[in-house]
Amino acid sequence: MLLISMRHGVQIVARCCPTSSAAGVECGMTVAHARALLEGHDCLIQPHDPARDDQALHRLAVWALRYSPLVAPDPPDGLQIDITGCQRLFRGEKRLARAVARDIERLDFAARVAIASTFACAWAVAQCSDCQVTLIPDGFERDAIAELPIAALRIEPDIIEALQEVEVVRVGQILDLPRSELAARFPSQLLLRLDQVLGQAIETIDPIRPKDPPQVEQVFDGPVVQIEAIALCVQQLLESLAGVGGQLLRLERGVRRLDIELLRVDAEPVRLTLSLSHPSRNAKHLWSLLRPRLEQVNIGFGIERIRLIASRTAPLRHDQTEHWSNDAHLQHEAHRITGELIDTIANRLGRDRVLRVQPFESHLPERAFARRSAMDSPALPGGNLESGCHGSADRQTRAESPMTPHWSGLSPPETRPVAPLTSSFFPMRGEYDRPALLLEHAAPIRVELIDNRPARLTWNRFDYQVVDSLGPERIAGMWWEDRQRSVQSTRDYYRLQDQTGHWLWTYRERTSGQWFIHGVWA
Amino acid sequence: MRCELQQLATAIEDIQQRSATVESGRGFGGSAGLCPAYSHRGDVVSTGIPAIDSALCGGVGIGRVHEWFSNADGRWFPPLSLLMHVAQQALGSESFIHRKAVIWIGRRCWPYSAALIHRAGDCSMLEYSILVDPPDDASRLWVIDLALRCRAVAAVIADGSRLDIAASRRLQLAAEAGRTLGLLARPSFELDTLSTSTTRWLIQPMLTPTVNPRWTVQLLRRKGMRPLPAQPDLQRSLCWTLEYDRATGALRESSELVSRSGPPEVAAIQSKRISA
Repeated sequence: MLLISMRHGVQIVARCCPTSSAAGVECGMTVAHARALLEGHDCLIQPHDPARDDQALHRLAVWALRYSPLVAPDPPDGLQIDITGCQRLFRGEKRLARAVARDIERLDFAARVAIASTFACAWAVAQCSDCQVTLIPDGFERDAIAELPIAALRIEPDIIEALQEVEVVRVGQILDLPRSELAARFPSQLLLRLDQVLGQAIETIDPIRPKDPPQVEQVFDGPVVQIEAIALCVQQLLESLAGVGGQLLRLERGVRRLDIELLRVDAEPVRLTLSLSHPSRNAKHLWSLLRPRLEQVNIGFGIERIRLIASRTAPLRHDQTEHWSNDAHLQHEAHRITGELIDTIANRLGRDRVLRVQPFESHLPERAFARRSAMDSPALPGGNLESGCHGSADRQTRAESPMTPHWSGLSPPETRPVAPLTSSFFPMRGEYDRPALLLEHAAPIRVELIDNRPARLTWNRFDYQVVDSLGPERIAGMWWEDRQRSVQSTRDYYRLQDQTGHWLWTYRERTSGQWFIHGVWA
Repeated sequence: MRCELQQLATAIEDIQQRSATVESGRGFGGSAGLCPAYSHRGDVVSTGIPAIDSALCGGVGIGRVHEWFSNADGRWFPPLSLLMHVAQQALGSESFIHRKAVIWIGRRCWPYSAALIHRAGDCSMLEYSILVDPPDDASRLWVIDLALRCRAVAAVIADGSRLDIAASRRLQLAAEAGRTLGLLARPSFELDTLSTSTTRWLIQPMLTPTVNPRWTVQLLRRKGMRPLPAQPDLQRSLCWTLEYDRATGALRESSELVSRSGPPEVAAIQSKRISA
């Protein structure tokens, strides 16, 4: 694969894959030359977009905040991490370096990691060494870089050419030359880089900084005890945060989590958190969720300050006012209202009482679907606010709050492997006859057999005459699950009709011979 | 012999057609005149079963609450196959093009998710479904009310047991405000409780000679339409046999001409409750 760019009207190879490199392709080569070298290979050529490279590197830098709070992207393909003091958390520099290399490999990136006492030395070794992980002890910088090519010093190409003219190709050769002569013959950058490598000059990095989340604050002149005044103030703050002209509108983002901090006199501050299933900028909706919580707050001797922090946000486009509502707008509205319905129910009953169902990779009927809180689940199909009719293409790729540690663009978002609805592995895809009602827990029943067919069953002290039966349908147990015996055994499912006409879904465990009722065609 | 049988079959068919014409109101100046509540087709969701649709002037009304009673001799099973079928019909109707959410309220009324998936692999019903588990009766009533008022919801299927007349009126007003389809599942021993629902149905399982489950569905009330006939033989015309086809997963009217057992004895069910 080749990424190409135009230079003086000529197509130049900007980046190439390892296979191309092995064939002799180098960056800066013309595409025609590269094609000639790659003859016989299937070659994919795409235009090079440096801005996307920078964005990806920035996301990787955010990801690397897990190792240290000071991380700087080093374009085009490097990261500089100040690990001073952080190595203790990883039980030593060696383990830290290995952890970084291993974790980046999991993201499908090839990486070389070097730890040194100066950034310049670590950069030189990481760029020019062949080892995946290199540790350079204090005082050994000169030895570490002596054998490296002079390009490892991050100097301008014309200085490299000038050095090559006098047959200086390794850093060690420069270090052996008298310093005064170097200063007289070459630009000052060469000496600066040498000093930076050896720790005799300061080198600073420009680390990424998390942006402050949008927040609004109101400080009172004195303690306020009237709940009406506090409620009015919170309403005004919500308007200034999420209403017309609010901070979120300017950022084109909606709230996913709102933290409310009430600073009380002579008491601990009260902190409330509001979670939303969909990003929202509707101040009225936020107030309807907040009001019942606010009414229950113990004000104490009064409140001095109220602060609202939108600690988690997600992209949300402006609402375009249209005279004639089109389909996309109506659909968008419907999804917004559904999100508000879920928020309202979850806020009053609890987030675990509003659920959505997602298929799960299991043959066992009770495990074939996982119930998840609707607050965690994605929005209704086709109506995801981030990717819906009001989302532009680049916004779809942007993750929620990219500058906060909650950002998870490069890590697996789900802890439990939930198969997508379009998964090819989906045993319950309507191919089998399944009852309309499945009992929460299979209930044990007593079954009388005549000629090895169920003839009578007793469930909850009620007797049922079996007038018809279908089966068995065998479903193998999960023998690898050693903790739950109930799912280990293979089951033989029978469909039984009782004397009233109900069709019951029953099964017999093959190991124990115990019968259970599992569902009803109701 | 064959000729006589054919004559008999033709005679039965004529009687049935006449009965359907009378029931749908066409014999009395058209359905619109008899059904002031449903002035145009957008106000109803077709059940997909022509005989039931003709008895209801086109289908179950939108912006109304419908109660579905099912037998609860030993244990109550809500008539979920039928409710799923109606909800599916609502999702496919023109009135709910942009309103797709289906809310299932009450743990007893949660269907098995595999049954929400069509044989053709259509998962839309599963994706649009939201399950709510209210902890008590007051919360259940509040959630049903809230969901019925929501303009993004197509159908609300809820456990309607232990709801009194005031709650019933509240839900009816909520459904009218939100123009939502409200389907309440109730146990049959609550048949004698008062309610303001537009239609009432009684669903009972029946013994089948085939492997497909069958139910008798009887219309007990239709507000805003022609009153139900008092004669037992005409009542029988408002009783249908529906069959769940295991092969296709569809609900359809049974191919048999009439219900063999006739309409179930409502009075008997109520007396059973009293004796219990």
